[in-house]
Amino acid sequence: MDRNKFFLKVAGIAALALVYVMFTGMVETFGGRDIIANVLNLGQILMYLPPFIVGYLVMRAEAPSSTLVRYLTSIGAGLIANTPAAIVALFMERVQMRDTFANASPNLVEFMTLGIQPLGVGILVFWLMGGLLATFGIAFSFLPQGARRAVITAFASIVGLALMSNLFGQILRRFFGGRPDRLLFSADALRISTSLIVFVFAAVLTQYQPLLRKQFGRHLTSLLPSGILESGHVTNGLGLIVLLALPWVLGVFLSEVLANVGLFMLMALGLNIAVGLAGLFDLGYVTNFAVGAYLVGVLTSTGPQGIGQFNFWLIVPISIVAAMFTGFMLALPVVRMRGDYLAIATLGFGEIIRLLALSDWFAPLIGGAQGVLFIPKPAILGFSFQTPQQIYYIILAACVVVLFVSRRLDISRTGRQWRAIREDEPVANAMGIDVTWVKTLAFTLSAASGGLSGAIFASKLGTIFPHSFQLLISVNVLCIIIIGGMASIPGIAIGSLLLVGVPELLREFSEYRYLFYGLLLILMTIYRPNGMIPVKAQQHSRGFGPEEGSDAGKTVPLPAPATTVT
Amino acid sequence: MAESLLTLASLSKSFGGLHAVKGVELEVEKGSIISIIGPNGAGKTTVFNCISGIYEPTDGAILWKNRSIGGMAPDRIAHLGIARTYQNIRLFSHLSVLENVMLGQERLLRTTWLGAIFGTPRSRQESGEVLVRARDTLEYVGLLELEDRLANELSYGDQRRLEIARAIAGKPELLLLDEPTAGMNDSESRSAIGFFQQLRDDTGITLLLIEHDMRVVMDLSDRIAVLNYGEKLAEGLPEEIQTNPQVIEAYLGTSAEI
Repeated sequence: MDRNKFFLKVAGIAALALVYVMFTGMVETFGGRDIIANVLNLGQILMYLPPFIVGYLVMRAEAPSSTLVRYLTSIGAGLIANTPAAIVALFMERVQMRDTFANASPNLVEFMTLGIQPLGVGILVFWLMGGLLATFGIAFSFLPQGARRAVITAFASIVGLALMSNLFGQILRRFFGGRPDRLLFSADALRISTSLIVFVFAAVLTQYQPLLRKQFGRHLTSLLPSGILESGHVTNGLGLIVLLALPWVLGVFLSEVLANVGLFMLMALGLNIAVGLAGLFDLGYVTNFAVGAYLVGVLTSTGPQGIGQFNFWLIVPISIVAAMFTGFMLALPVVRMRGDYLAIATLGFGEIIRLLALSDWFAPLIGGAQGVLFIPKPAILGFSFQTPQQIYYIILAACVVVLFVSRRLDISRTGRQWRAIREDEPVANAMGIDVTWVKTLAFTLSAASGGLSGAIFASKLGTIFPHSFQLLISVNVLCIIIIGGMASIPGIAIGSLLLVGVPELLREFSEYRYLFYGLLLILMTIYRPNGMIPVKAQQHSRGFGPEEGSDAGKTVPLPAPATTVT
Repeated sequence: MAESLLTLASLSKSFGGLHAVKGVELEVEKGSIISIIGPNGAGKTTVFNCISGIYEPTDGAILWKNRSIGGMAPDRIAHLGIARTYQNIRLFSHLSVLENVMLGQERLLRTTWLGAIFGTPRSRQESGEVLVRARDTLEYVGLLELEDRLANELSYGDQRRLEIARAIAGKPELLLLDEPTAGMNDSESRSAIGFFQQLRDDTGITLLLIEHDMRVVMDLSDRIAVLNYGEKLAEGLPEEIQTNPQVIEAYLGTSAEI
């Protein structure tokens, strides 16, 4: 009984997923992107994967029945998965469905049926394909676990490499000149030869990874002076060198992408102070971003809205302070709220600021819907930051500063107070923590880097409009933190790359960007609720202890030998 | 007569029509161990919540060293040197043991976020002191080896001890213990009695506790106050309370006669 339920459930979900991806046009759009040139495209992967997975899952499910029954159920499940899509396609010719399914086009049917005519036969082929793919899934389930992992990794590497072909292509062109990328890629897709090499390479690497890591690790550690890896200076130094060299490696277009990633990372690092460290859900972060952007816009612009035409660097501290002031003022009324209420109240502020920017009331000052134009690029001592590569360095410096400050706060008494109110507010209060003040402080400090990123954003873009300050900015920044991992700095870096960088590189699928976000959020909450790189609670404890050089420990008598070990 | 640390003067607290505490008088002398006992729902925890600032008294006064503190915010009361534990343990369960004890020291700390960002010498020194004090306290209660564990990974008994460690880490003058031996077996309660006596002798701390275990109450207390239906039924030395007919009636019902 249970087994029947499982088999029906899996097949049903796959069937729904198939109908969804087909008739919202995903299969067609993704079909435009070849993964392996002229062999496999993304749409086909999307269409063929569900019955394959169904076959695998049903076969693997523990079963009391005989092997033959298991084969048949798995294949049946694959067929069921393809049935609804086949039925819809069959009736598409007869019934006019384009009103409901705008994407149910003849092209889609051709894609499904592999172009086989007449239609009935083609759809039969599509339907039977479900069984065939399920059979492949069965075969896959017979592979040993290591081999399965190798195949999945290899396959994922091919897809990833093909999707990022633009990235690799540009880097290769920059380094070797000419078109070396044509050796590997053909029109954004991997050549068959390349994909074979990648497949074998990735598969072998997965198989021997533990062994390699051990061997390589031993050699590496024997080369370096002992203890140098633990101190973190070497890895931090190397990381910084890589970050400094990146724009030179990547070129103009990719540096622009990277600058956007950095800008969002800057915001996420700031919002993380409120959300990650203090546990306050702030959905109005765009407010601070807008304050910073408009201050720089109005005070540095050489256009009609400009007042004073001050230097960018003079206005940056002012925008930071102004954003902090806004954060402080907005915190005052909402700081006593908790959880959902807080999120909704701050969400309101985010909308208010956009409407204010758009309003006729402020239009004489900040341009209303026309926005602020002619904002000059940052310049200092005659040097002007013009290209994305140059602006990247400003963003990198800002990120390093915010990172440093939030790290210092995190390990200090203030960070501890934030963690305490995140855990249990009334008890934190009873421990002597002024809860209202500590929360207001989190909002205020968090606002600072919003103001900073707004300032850089205005100067980088040169023009700002009210529609640049939508709710989606706040949502995006919050998603980066949630998906990356609350309070986790590496998590935020990964989150920014994944949620800002990847969509910039895959603009052709931008329609489905938020679908991808939603899916990712759902999967994350189910499988990794603490984010991609969660923080360990223990690592906060110490802060600047006596370890960090000062002789603070000696000012207090140490009664027992155990306490002197720090 | 020793100096009075805390005085409850006709303390009352009502919730709507319910009079949880009615005109309770209590004198807590410095360095003493006082127990509040009484049947369930007698208003014992409400008294604690009034003292620690969680509730504002409806009527009457709470005096701390002859200064009125009734209705003061909990954080300010904590800063005066009144610490507490909870009937149902309330640790910061996803923080480490060490960090829990560090959070007990708030009233001793002065550095701010600015000092933290700029890493001022004072801030560094204070962080060092917090760490040393936290470890000293953990060693005192015997949890030092577990300092890196999360609070919710500890056993029930260790969680009780950690909660006490967190409360005494800030060197309070008065410690409110809400059923500190709840859920303990005989030998555990016995060692708890020893621990509290030792704590008082070592630090001169004053203890006010709510307790149900009569052995603990009789062995530990200098004085006992009995609450029933929000009112103080009796107060006195353990021997006096033991033989007080009103108390026995409240606990065992009207038919019980000596």
